[in-house]
Amino acid sequence: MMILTNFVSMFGLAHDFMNSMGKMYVVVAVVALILVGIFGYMILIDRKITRLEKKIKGGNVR
Amino acid sequence: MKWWKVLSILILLYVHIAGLLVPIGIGITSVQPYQIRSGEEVALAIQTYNAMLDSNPSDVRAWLKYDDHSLIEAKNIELVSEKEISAGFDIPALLPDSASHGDLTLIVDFRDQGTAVLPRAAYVTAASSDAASNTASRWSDINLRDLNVVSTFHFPYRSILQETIRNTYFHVSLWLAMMILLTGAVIISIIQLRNGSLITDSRAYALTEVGFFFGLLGVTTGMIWAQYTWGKAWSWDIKQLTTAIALVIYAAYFLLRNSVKDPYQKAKLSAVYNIFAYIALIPLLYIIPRMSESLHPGSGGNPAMGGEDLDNTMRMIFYPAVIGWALFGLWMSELISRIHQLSIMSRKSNIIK
Repeated sequence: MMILTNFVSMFGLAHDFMNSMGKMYVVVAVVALILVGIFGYMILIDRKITRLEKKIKGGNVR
Repeated sequence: MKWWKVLSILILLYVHIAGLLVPIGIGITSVQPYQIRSGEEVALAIQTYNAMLDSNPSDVRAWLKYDDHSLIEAKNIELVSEKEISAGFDIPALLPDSASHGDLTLIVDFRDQGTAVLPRAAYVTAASSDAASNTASRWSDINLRDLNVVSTFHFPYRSILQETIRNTYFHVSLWLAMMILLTGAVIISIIQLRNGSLITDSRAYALTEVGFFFGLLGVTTGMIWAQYTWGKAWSWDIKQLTTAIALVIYAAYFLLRNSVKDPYQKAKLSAVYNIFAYIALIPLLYIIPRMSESLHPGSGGNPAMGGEDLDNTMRMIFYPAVIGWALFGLWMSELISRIHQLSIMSRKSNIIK
């Protein structure tokens, strides 16, 4: 029961935080999400290239 | 590296720096009390945003406006705290046109910092006609001509949105960039149907993939924004719904490609499906949402990003942002297309060790 009420109050605190400073942190969250998405995509692409290189060039791909 | 790739980075850097650092203008966040009665003195407690209130309230002037020809000026202004002022008004005994109630707009002018306006800041009801009036003031046709226009560059203040108006440069620009990429995808799909080339197919596929990715980013960033401005991340708003449908239609494009083995057949089917997906995209994103009332700007018959949603300061960041994201998306699609072509070539010529 304590865990549940603590969890709910944590959510309330997060709500206050996001609404503070003119909701600037909402902007931060949006930009961070875009960056994380793009970085994740870059990692995906990099892995695809690495796999392709291994396939084409063989085992001596660093 | 090609010039347009470098340009995309420069533009996006500019958009991030300017979009995040330029300050928001002065605004009024709240006014208490909301209900006031005519014929009474009232002291409005006004909370401000981004105003540097110092100890000299004689720099501040305030008016309550009933309509364009009926205003009253505050008789005194006091500083309550660094974000709050108190403005005293003598509300006239009678409302213009003998009305019984009305909305009042609050206009506060801060010297050197600009003017803040809050429509429907207070609601006035006429006192009953036989109540004695405490005030002798009258609504008059005050011409607010010498309001202070602040010369520093700033973005407009909008109540509820506040700083999140900056999301326009990220959430909205991503959608427009997506439209550019998906338009390119459908054009290249049509070209593919005519030349049958696998390289063209690879380019169409790559543009669609990046467009879809931007669409996903658009929906998720929109949900974050909505959570703190509309109150809920998903409110079955018509535009949220139609864009989700459009994204599902494009998701099926990738499922279709995966289900076909032969690359030439895959290319042909993908191109045809891409055309249909695009034909569905236009009414889903641009026609249906405008037909009904919605929380999204651009509903109820008005085109989005019109004069109400963007002012000239924002346009200086917004239009470059669209171009920047579109160019960056083009770069991403070029990488994906190159990988795709290499993987097909490696399969075809069987250079597997």
